[in-house]
Amino acid sequence: MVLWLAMRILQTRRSAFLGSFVALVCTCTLITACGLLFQSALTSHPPAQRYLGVPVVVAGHQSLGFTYGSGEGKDTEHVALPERVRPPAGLATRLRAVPGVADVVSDVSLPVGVADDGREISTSNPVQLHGWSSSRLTPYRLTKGRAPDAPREIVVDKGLAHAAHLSPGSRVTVADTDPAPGGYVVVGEAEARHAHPGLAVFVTDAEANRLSGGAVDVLGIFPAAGAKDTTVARAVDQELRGLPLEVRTGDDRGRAEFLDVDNALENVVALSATFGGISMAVALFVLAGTLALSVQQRRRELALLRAIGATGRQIRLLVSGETLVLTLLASVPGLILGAILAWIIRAILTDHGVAPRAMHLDVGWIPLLVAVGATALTAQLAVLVTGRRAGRLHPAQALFEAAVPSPRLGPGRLLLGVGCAVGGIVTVAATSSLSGGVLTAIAAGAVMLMLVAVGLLGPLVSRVALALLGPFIHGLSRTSGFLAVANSRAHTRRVTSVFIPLVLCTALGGTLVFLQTSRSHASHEQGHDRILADRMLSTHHGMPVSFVNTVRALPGVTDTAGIAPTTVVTGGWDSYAAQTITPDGGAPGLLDLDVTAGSLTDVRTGTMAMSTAQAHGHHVGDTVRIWLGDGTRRDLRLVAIYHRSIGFGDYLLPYAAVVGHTTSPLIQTVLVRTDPRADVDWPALLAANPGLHLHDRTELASADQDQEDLAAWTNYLLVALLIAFAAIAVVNTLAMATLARSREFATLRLTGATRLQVMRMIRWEAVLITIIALAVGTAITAMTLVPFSQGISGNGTPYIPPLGAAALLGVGVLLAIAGSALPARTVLRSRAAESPVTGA
Amino acid sequence: MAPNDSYVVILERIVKSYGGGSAGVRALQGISVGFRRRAFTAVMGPSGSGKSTLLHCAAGLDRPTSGSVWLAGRDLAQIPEPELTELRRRQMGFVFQSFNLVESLTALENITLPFRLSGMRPDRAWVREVVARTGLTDRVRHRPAALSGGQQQRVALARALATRPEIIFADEPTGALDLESGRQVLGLLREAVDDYGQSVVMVTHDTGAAAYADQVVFLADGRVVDEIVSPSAEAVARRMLAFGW
Repeated sequence: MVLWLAMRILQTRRSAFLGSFVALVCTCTLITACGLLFQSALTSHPPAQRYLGVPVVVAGHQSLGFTYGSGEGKDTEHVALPERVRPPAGLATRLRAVPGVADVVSDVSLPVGVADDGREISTSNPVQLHGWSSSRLTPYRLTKGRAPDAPREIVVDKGLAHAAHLSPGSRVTVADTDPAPGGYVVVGEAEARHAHPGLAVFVTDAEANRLSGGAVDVLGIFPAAGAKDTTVARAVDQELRGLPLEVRTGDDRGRAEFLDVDNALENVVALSATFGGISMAVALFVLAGTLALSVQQRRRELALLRAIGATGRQIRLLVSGETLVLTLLASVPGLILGAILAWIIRAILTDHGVAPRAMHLDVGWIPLLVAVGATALTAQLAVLVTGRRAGRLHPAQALFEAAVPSPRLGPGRLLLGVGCAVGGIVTVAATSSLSGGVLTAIAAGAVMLMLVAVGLLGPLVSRVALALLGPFIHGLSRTSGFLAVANSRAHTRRVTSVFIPLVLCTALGGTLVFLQTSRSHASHEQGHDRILADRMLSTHHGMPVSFVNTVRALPGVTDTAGIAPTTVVTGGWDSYAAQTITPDGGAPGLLDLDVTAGSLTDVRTGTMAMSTAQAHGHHVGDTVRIWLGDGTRRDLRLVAIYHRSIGFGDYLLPYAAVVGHTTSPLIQTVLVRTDPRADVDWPALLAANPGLHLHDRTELASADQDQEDLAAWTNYLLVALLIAFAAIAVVNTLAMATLARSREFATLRLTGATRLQVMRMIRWEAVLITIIALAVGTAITAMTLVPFSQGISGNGTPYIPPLGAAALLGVGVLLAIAGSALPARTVLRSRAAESPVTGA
Repeated sequence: MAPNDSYVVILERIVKSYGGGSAGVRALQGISVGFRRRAFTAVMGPSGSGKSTLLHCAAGLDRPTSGSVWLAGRDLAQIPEPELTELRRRQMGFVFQSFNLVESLTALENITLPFRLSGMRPDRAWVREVVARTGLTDRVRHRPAALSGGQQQRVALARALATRPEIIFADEPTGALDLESGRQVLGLLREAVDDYGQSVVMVTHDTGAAAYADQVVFLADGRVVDEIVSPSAEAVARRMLAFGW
């Protein structure tokens, strides 16, 4: 019955619900977009390319499980491993003995740089070098020439041959793990007929084995004729008992090839989950305000229903029912817009390399249903408090309530408000030392708590602010200003519900954006101070460890060090960015990490250094257990604690500790210190190593660059969308509030105020509200940013680009004026005498 | 006054105050009054005399600060909230000065609304008769926006009658109507008492309306100051003048 009433009311009083409808459409859009991205990242399997020709592959299990607790409380946490987990030596032989297995092929991939005639062949992704027997896995077929036979013979794939005009007989130099790039003769050209793997070159198995130091990445299993793939897979699986390896078939094989894609997809999953959560919280807020406003404006009707005999419960159900119907209606445009938004976000993320291109948008009906459900849940939660208040309306009170509602705050509300404010501040204080993606979520959470506090204490805040601003505005405008202040003073509840979305905009936007700018700025500053070297060398694919010594041997060079990024997993089931360094000794003349304890010169085999952020509870001299990026456990002695970890990494390990445990055996950067008086023969070095780049003192790439980029993009994207949402909410709420005051405006007109004076009054009110909102928003932003930036950079001053701040404030002011002036103009257009009588 | 079958609503020493401290207002200062069954009682007084407050307390729309209200022998203070609402639904009818109807529903749906709220089926024959009596037969499918003020009040009255309540409370029912519509509504209220044995309590400031009643109770400053039985418009007017209003 209540639903019937709800539908009738919705049918006839459509304009009253427009504001809430718009808010619901926006909510549904945001939640749908997040849900679709989440689903897409989960279900995206890069299809098998390189391993298309072999039905069963054995590859590493790229996650580490930590089991803790016992008995009932036993649980396992999984941490993703970014470095390739490799099969142990001799496994290929063991697997050949498994019944049903015809052959086992070992595959290894080594990123190399190929140069023709002294110039590097530039490619978007590094060329991978493999042993020729692994060409069976794709498979590749020879289109020209023959297979490699001798150590210095190479077969190139068709793409590379075309790009560099290579053919059998051409000579190329390949920069790999040898100290200097080696000369090879192209003896053949191969093509992968059905698959599209990345660019590849093939050498003899022995040569590949030598260059890769005997490492094997993946084993391809060919079942015997007549044996079923699944049976063989199961048999192999048995053999793998106890090893951190997995058998993969079908689409799963692609994950063995594209290791970084898996990581990137995980990141997108995390991103959309965070984004979705924050969106729901913001939506809850905005909807609560909009729905409260719409119920407030229908007090009379609801009170009448109470008088006739509707129980409080029936009124609550009515309000919930209206919201539910409205939600379902809003879902239609919401789902469509959400899908479009998801498509746009995906495009942006893939364009900037944050999401892999292999991720397709998966528009299934499950995420769509979940989105509708989540929106409905958010809406119902939002209307809960309002519904209860409406249900408790004393019919007489509401029927006869004077136009001015009570300004006093109930004690419960006051207590809850203060509680939330305290909660927000405590959250910030307790977590200010965190970093990474978790920081965004916590910062947003703290801001939301404080916003709830502002919402609850709003009337109080309004009164105080008006008491302060009132005399000032009086002075500026005796009539319109006076009216504006008086009106706002009397209707503190309305003022509150109107400035909340604006505060939301400012506070959330300000916090997230400036948190990111502070972090980027700290990263830049630290990066600048970190490098003492005066030159840096890098290539597209990496340099062999021995190259560090080659450069060191050049006349005029006083010191060199090689840096390679990796990941470390700690006992806290978290992974952190780390850098490895060679040779031992921490390169004190090249790198200044602002060491606070111990010394970097002690960094050698068996030891490591960590950042101050990670060092709580540890002292120099302690033995710390960590796991490398491929899951290998290491117990290393802590020899130094350093401060400048932002944009670098939280751990510094000697390269020797990770040899053989990283996906690529190459290092990323070589730092060089030269004698200022000497003249180093750089041109010769560059000529001998095509593809080598020489940099002046610039920044060392962060070990965490992907994460940093993702975090930055998360923040900016989130902020853009949330500000858009909040902006719509601001205009919405203001419009609703203004349109409902037609009677008030008409009374003013009849008393003798001109249209212009009423418009001016509205503008002053907008100014008042904007000032209050921006002040409160800035206060919240400051309260959040200062402790966080203390944790980030050690000083309590966040980095706020003045242009950004001005833009944010300007947007706020524009929204406030647009939201009130435009509807007011509409309302004032009607003739003054109409409104008071009909009370429209 | 002892609970008695001849009185449908009895109020005993009702005090109602609003607000606290210096802003406090005592709307009713210890009123004791009874409204007779099958009678048309009018409550009159100047603004601020507390007559609307008295009506709200009598109808259970508001709880008095002290004192008790008895409806058909039951103490309203003893009845918890949802039950009180249900009681109101079944045993009371309301006609207010304005904003009587739910805008989104048709006249007929407004009339049968109390039944829907109870989840009960209305007595169709009775509803038809009430609709005919109030002269709304050809307007029942219209929404309030398409009805005149007088017609809207008649719909409210039809709704009040439809549940055959113990008592009908009317708060300035003719206040917003022109003379002709007002007379129609008052006539209907009179008929409800005479033909259907309904009890009606009407708050009004219009001496002409008071003349339709069987008894007029005069309020001033939250107290009963006089009563007239079988009033004529002249008698009422004279009495009001005598009190210097």
